[in-house]
Amino acid sequence: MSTSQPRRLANALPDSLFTNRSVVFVESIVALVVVWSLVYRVLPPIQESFVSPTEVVIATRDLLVSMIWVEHFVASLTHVAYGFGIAVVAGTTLGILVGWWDFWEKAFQDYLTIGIAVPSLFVAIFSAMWFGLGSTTPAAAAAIVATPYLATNVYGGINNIDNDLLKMSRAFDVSRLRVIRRVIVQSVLPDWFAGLRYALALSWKIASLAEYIAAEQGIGYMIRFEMRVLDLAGVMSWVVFFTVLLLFIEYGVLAQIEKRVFAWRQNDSVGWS
Amino acid sequence: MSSETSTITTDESITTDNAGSIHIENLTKEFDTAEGYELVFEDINVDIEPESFVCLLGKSGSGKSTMLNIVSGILEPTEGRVRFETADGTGDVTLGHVFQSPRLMPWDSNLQNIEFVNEDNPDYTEELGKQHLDLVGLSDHYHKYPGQLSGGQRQRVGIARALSIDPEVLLMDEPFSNLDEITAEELRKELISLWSELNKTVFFVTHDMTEAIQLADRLLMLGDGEIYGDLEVPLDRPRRIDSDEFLKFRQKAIDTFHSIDED
Repeated sequence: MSTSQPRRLANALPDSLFTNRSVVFVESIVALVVVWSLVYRVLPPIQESFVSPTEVVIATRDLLVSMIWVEHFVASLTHVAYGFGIAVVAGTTLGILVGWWDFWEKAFQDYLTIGIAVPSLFVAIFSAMWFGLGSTTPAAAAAIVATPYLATNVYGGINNIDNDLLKMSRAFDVSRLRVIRRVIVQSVLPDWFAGLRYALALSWKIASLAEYIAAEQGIGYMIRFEMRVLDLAGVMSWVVFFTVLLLFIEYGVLAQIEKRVFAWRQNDSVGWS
Repeated sequence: MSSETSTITTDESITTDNAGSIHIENLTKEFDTAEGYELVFEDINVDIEPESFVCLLGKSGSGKSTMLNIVSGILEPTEGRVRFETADGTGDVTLGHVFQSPRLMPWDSNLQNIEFVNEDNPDYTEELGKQHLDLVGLSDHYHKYPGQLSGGQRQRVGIARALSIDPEVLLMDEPFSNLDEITAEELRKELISLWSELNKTVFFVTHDMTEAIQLADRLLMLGDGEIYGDLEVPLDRPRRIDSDEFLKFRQKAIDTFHSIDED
């Protein structure tokens, strides 16, 4: 009897509450805020070292109204743009070299593994030591961390090229240039794009970390500033701003591009052999 | 040649009078393996007439796909050569290929898959691509992706792609072996219908005796490095696989096919 009541309740609610990804995501945020509020109210010791959701909402509103975020957002965006841009060029080139030629595979494969294994914090600290205080540190740290991820994805994409399609192209005497454009690039594109998405998110995180350590502008720098003045609500407001920004980039920009570029994947209703 | 189905209609812009002949001369193939040279076949001589439908039969590992790959130019022979004769006398042949799996690019629409192999074809237009998809019964699927089609439909696109380059010779490597029997049977009938309409020379590799007798004018049997069986199929079309004549000939072909095991 006790189990049938929740089941009946679940049956009475719209399916979208359980199946729609966006709706479930909003539900999870609401649940998080509710739990946060309850814990904050019920456990008074926490109030000394933490802030309530209401305080964070107010601090975020103040941040947006003050327009301070514009300067630091533009600074972070510039750091990420340079770091990510370098990672795209270097990672793609490295991935092609390693994927296509045995010699470069032997020469660089282990470096890619090491590059992925090295903790990002070390890279941020070493970048700060090499480049000092300023914009170069976050850009360099983002580039160094993101490059091996992108290279590994391109390398994997090249290894996964369907040999049967290459044989088919040869049987029909299709020119090398057309095979590169229509078979090889198209085969690697999904892995390259997945690498881009990951590298971009990583660039934002590492650039912010490096800004925290050694920069005079940027979202990471402002998080450090708020921590120094012990404004926890201020710290959380920048974290919220950063999270919303990443979600916008992920779902508002990258997911939309993916939907257009890889329409053929979404239409895979039957599956291919 | 008579048609088994009446569903195939050819557009005037699709060529129907350019079949080529194949002449396999003293063909030998060896593979260089870790254990030394492995002989696949030796001194094979076969002439295939224009507009004929020839099936090459053999057990797994007999070298039938190797021979098809040499005929198609993908593999080089160790000795001998493959020569083609065309209606215009140049011997400059265009080969159409249909593979065991369709080998379509999943990111391209069916029409784009056909366009892909027509790079050097000055006469190719989108309209011609559509006509070839019409030819294999895919009029409503021009802009669909291969992933949206069934296995049989994808193989039809593969056939349309091969025909779109206007080949003098069509090379088919077990094209129906990955399909369920009902779909395979349907496609065999359509292939015969297309062949009757388009008058192409077809060189078809299979290990399925019933399929071979249903389709071919002539059966070649490859094994132990030689062509040990060469049978004309004396059956009228359309061929019913349960008719007495079919079953009688099938038994004769099977006896020939297994004769190599007795030697």
